[in-house]
Amino acid sequence: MNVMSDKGTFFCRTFEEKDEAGVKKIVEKAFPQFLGGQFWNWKYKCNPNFDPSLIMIAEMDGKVVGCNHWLLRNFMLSPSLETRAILGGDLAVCPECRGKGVGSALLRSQRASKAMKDLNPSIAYTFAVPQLASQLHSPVAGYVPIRVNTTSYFKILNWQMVAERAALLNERIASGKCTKKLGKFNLKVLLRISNTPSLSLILSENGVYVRENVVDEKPNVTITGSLSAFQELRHSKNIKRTIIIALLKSKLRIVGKPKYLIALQKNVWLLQEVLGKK
Amino acid sequence: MSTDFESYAIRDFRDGDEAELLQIFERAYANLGGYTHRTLEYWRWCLLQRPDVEKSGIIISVEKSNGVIVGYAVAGKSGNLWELAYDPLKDGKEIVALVLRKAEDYLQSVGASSINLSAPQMDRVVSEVCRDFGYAITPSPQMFCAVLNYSTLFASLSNNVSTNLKTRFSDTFLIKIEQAPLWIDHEIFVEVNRNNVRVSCEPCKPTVSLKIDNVSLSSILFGNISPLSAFLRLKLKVKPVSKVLTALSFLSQLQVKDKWSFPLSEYG
Repeated sequence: MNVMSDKGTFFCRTFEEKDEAGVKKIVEKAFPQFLGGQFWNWKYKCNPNFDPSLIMIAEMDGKVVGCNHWLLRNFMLSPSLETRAILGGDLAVCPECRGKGVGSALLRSQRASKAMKDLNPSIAYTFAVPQLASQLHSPVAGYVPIRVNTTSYFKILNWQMVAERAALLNERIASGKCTKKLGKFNLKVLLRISNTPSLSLILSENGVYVRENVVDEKPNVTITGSLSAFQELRHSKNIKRTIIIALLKSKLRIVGKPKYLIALQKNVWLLQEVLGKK
Repeated sequence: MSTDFESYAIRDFRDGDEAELLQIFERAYANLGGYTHRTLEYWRWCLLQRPDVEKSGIIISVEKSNGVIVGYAVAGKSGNLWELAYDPLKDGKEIVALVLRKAEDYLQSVGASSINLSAPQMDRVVSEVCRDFGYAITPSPQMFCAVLNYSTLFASLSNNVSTNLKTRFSDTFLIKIEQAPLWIDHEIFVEVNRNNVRVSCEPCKPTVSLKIDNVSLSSILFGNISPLSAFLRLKLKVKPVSKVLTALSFLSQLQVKDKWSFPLSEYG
């Protein structure tokens, strides 16, 4: 399949051995959050279900610019009903080619490929963030969300991740790369989240300073709540709205003098930066 | 090294444990929709060779009296508890509590900042232990599914309920699928009579015609919406009108009723 875009023409074909380095590079760039992106060998090449004919490549000017991985599985639709299925693995497009239809072309050509006709699976399933699924998987290939019977549980063991995120944020602020402006202020916020070590955050115009298990210091603002309320804050796209809802539902308590609460409200984005999920 | 509890103890993973661990996994998951068959080779790849898993992260619970493995957890240094399974015939609460406590200690020792795990919704044992240990429930990864071949899918679904279909229907159903991608058959015929259920793409004279778009049909088959709801929302059209109830009942028979479960190791 040849597709024209303003960056040039790309075409889709099945994976060949010479593509390995290019594919790994794209996957590394696209998924740095999982093992630094260094998982291709294990996840695909060493996978007992690995079938190179189920990897589709998008190529432009002799370079791999996108890839989509599929794995064949025997899948139980119900306890008594097994079917041949395709697990949609990592779909990655190099940053400069995103938004040009590469992902859609990969999905389409994969389904029309000879390997698919030979293997004849009845369904394809994948795990995806809902936003990507609604923009790509559903309109291009008719994916529908599935009701799952799985509960995920989460517990914080320490605040190391928050300290790392705060250090990155502080670097951005110090180098002037932070787009939001910070007025002069200094605010000590204590987070008491059930079943987690207490966390002290010092918010100021220089960024966020993190300390774990602080007991002897008097905070300006204390935020108390359950771990599930805190998880909602972490996943929230609009932290102010989520805080208000949590306060109304008594899932969260915020205590402090009005001037400190106003300062927190003005700079709440700092909390989102260091506590957020991504 | 081993850690004591009342009836069970914890011990380190030993080469050769894989077969027993796979059996425990099968006992916990094989009767659930969404299960994918595993071989020993697959188990080794999926867990033992996983880049963030070391042997010390495989926590095994054994019965004190005879050393038989009764549960296990595989903790990755990333903080993911890739798998947690226990023998449902044993005291699950004690096993899960023991294994989970040990997994937390291990993850603390390797510097993980959080612990994530998943379990089937109806697993009350894990749910209760997680509640006691102060875990929060967090959104599960979202799963999406698409039909690649309706003939094969209809054949599997109808074979699964063929006895019901044969006793209830004596019709030839034509399912016209609209707004479907190119690779999907746009017309499926399902012939049902007392002796046989036959799915084909070859035209034959239907007694009931159903017209439905691809997404609505997938949603019905995967149990997201009921056939009645699709009909009331004008997503499903049936001819002749006198056969509406037959068509709704037919689709309802084919629906996948079970919700699907998957361990974290299937997702990551």
